[in-house]
Formats: sequence, structure tokens, C-alpha cells
Amino acid sequence: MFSRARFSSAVTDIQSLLAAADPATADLDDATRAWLRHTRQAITAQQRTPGRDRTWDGVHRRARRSRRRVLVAAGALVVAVTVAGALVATPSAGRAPASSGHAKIELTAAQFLDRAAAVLLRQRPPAPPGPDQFVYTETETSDGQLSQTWLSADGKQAGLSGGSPVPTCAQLQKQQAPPPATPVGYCTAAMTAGYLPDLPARPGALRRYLTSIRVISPGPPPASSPNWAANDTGKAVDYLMATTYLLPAQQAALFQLLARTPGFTIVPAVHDAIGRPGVAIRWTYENGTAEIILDPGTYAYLGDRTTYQGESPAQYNGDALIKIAIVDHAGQQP
Amino acid sequence: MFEICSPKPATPGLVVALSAVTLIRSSVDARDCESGFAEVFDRYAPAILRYAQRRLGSRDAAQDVVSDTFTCAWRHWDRRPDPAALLPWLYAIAGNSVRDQRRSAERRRRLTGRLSALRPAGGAADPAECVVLGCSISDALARLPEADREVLRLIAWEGQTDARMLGLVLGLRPASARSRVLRARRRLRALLDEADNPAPGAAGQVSAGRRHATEA
Repeated sequence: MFSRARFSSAVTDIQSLLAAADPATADLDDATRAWLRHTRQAITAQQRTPGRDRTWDGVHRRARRSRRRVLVAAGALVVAVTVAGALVATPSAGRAPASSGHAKIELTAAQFLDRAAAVLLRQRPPAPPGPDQFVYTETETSDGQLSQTWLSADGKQAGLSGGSPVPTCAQLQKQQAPPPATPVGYCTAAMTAGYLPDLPARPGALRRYLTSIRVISPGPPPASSPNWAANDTGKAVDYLMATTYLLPAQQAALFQLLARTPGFTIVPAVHDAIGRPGVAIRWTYENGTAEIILDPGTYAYLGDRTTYQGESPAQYNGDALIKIAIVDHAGQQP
Repeated sequence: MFEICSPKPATPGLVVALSAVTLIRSSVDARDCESGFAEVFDRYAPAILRYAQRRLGSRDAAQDVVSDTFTCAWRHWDRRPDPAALLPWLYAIAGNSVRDQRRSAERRRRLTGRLSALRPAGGAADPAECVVLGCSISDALARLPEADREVLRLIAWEGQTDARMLGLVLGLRPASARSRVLRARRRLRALLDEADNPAPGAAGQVSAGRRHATEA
């Protein structure tokens, strides 16, 4: 058959193009062989019980956390609390109570975002962090892993993320010293800051500012990437909402930036990575679909979700923002 | 299509039912199971390790994938396919694990997303990949959608050249797998031709396209 011949010819062509380019080595070293033997024994020593994830030393190194439901309750609280001198805020802090279910929404994404911005602009701003303080964020992933991050408010001190240091610009530039073939990247403290006091309120100026601190790519847009502007802007807003301390007017400006960027749609009834109901601002990109999820009652940022091309929507990958707080030191629990 | 050990857990009722069936069977054929599993592990674990290394680039992460894949296979050993489809079955499970690993890496990268901008600009392809692949192939692969990249890797590096087996790995019907192969090859060829005859300003687009495709 012609199609079978065409398939065989394509297979041969692919093999000839890529055969010499295999990045994996064919041979295993002795240490890897020993590790494989140990792994096989460790696996077969386990009782076969389908459908349950278990972890044990030496085979699974990534333990899963199970504090999830407790934190869902914590995340649903909608109060600003002062604990031991540190301001602790949930994603919905200082606003109206989070809704308990899905709202009936018949707005476009831009209309919803403009309405959210208008509500936020009426709010009284809380005290921002001082330059020497740290912004603490706690997130939980859709598979139950917790992550804590501390970013220096002004970006001039090293932070911590998932147990690893977040270097300052100065430290990075030292690390990226010679060879001369790899020029040092452009760097400002705002790139690693947990709070951005200079974030402009007007969408045009805001986009230029975010480009200057490389939250938005300087471009040019690749011809092969559909919906590039929405993807780049959506990711930028998601980064900022997930990792920085934003005053209500700053969040409003980010919403207005999204509203003025084509390519976003609204999904009125979704759940975030830990099951909280929300409204999704959705966009597509070449590898899948991404969403920023907002509380339908307070417009607080709840988290994000991504579904990769070819996967079922049920297999989404998502992060839920559980807590934002201001603390005095990296590593300090709020 | 294989659907076990997906990132989402099975429903509780199904888990209970499967557990009961497995416990009854396991008392009867535990020893046969273990020797059969050990044989399959010894034959295919190196292939799964290389599969994961090719996709994740890290030996540690690849070892995690081997552990995850064979733990899952062991737990579902009663539901294994015919011997001819065992390796595609294992690739399909490993694919889920690779996606989990990538998600974790993306989360870490997102938390410090702004820092990714500090990488040196200008190079279209990862220098390490260039040494091995040649920059044009590396760039072309990076610019393809993941679905196309994956089918090309499965053919060229995992030796999965049968449309039915490719379909089992990718969760596609054989006819769909066949068209995906043809599409991926057509796109790869087009990108390589473009690299041989670059349009003005194309270098910047390659760089941005690569960044875009890998960060998403």
C-alpha cells in the first residue's frame, strides 16, 4: 500500500536524520548496573497493591506530603492575621469572603478582568513590606507537594525557594563570569525582588516595565508560536501573582494588562490545584492550555493550571497559592 | 491505550476492587510473578533509563523514572499486556513519569521565573546539545511541538518503528500514529530546509522560538 510505503520511508528518513544524535550512552557503567539490581530487589520486596503510591528509602526519593486538606482550610480563611510580628495574608486577605461555589458569569475575559480591577482599586492598601524584609509564599501542587519561597523584598538579599538559594543579581553576575563566550545577562535587583514598588499602573507603561525586568520577553515573537502575546503576558502575570507581594492597585493594573491583551478566554467554573472553586482566565500556546485561576467573589489569585497537548484535561498540572506573608528573614516561618 | 499510573489516582472503589483481586492472585502466583518481573526488569530497565535520560538530560531524574515505572509495573503486573507489547507498555508508564518530572522542574523554574532571563542571550541551541546533535537538528527538534518531538525520538532512539506499538506508547490508534509520524517528519524536514536557507532575521526567531517552546 502506498501509505505503508510512505510510512516506512518516513521512518527510515527519521532514523537517518537522528540516529547519530542520540544523547544517551548505550553502555551502562558498573555503578548503574548495581543501582539497577538494588532497585529491582527493592521493588519486588514490596507487596503488590495497585492504585496506591508508597515511598521507601533508596527507591523513591521524592516523598509526597499529606498536609493538603489542613492547608485547604487555611487557604479558605479570608482574614489578615498578625502572628509574632509578621503580617500573614491568605490569597484573599483583606477582601470580601471567598465564595463557596461557582458564580454564574456571563462576561468576556476582558469584562471580568476590568470588573475585578475596579473592585480592587476601591480597596485600601495594606502596608507594603520594608526593603529589608522578605516575601514568603507557600504553594501546593496538584499532586500534593508543598513549596515555600522567600524573596527579598527589594531583591538585594539572597532568597530561598524549595530549599535552594535564590541568588541576587550580584551573586549571579559573579557566577556567570568568564568564559567570554557566554556574556553576562542583563540584571537588576527587581528581577529577584518580592515586592515591586515601581510597578506602573497604566497597561502600556506596565508592559514596558515588565519587559525591562525581563518578566515579559523582549521579543521578537517567534513566527511558529501562535498566541504568543497572550502566552507571554499570561505567564508574566502568573509569575508575579504567585511569587510577589502585590498591593490591590498593582493587581488591578495586571488585570487591566491582561484585559487589553488579545487571546484570553474565560472559564466560569473550574477548581484550582487543591479543589477551590474559581474562574479561569485561559489561553492556549503551542504545547497546551494554561489558566490563571481567580476567586470569583474576591478576585484574589488562587493559582494556575496547565494541560499539556495530547493529555486529558483531568491530568492538569497546577499550583495553588496558599499563603503570602511578610517576614524578616529568609527561612523564617510566618 | 494504557492508562495505569497516570498522575491522577484511580477512584477509591476501583482501587479497593483491584487490591482485592491482586491480593487473592498474589497468594497463588507470587513466586512466578517475581521471576517474570525480574526477567522483564533486567531486559528493559536499561532501555527505560536511556528513554528517561534522553528526555530529562539528568541521570538522577532518569533513575527516578526507572523506579517509578517499574514500581507501577510491579503493582499492576496482573494487568500487563502480551510480551510483544511489554516494552511499549513500559514506555507509556515512563512517559507519565517523565511528564511528572518535567512538571516539577517547571514549577521550580516558575518560582524563580524571572531569573531564567539571566541566561546568556544569543545562542540558538544548548551548546552541549550542539556538540552531540549538530545545532541545526537540535534547533529543529526544539522548535517542533512536543508531540512531534516525542514520536521522532521514539522512532530514532527507542527503535519503535511499528505504528501499532507507537500507538500503544502514545495512546493513539495505529492510523493516527502513522499520520503523526508523517506530520513530524514533514515538519522536521521543513525546519531543516529553513535552517539551510535562512530568511533574513530568522536567527532571532529560532532563539525566541526555542525559549518559548521549552518554558511555556
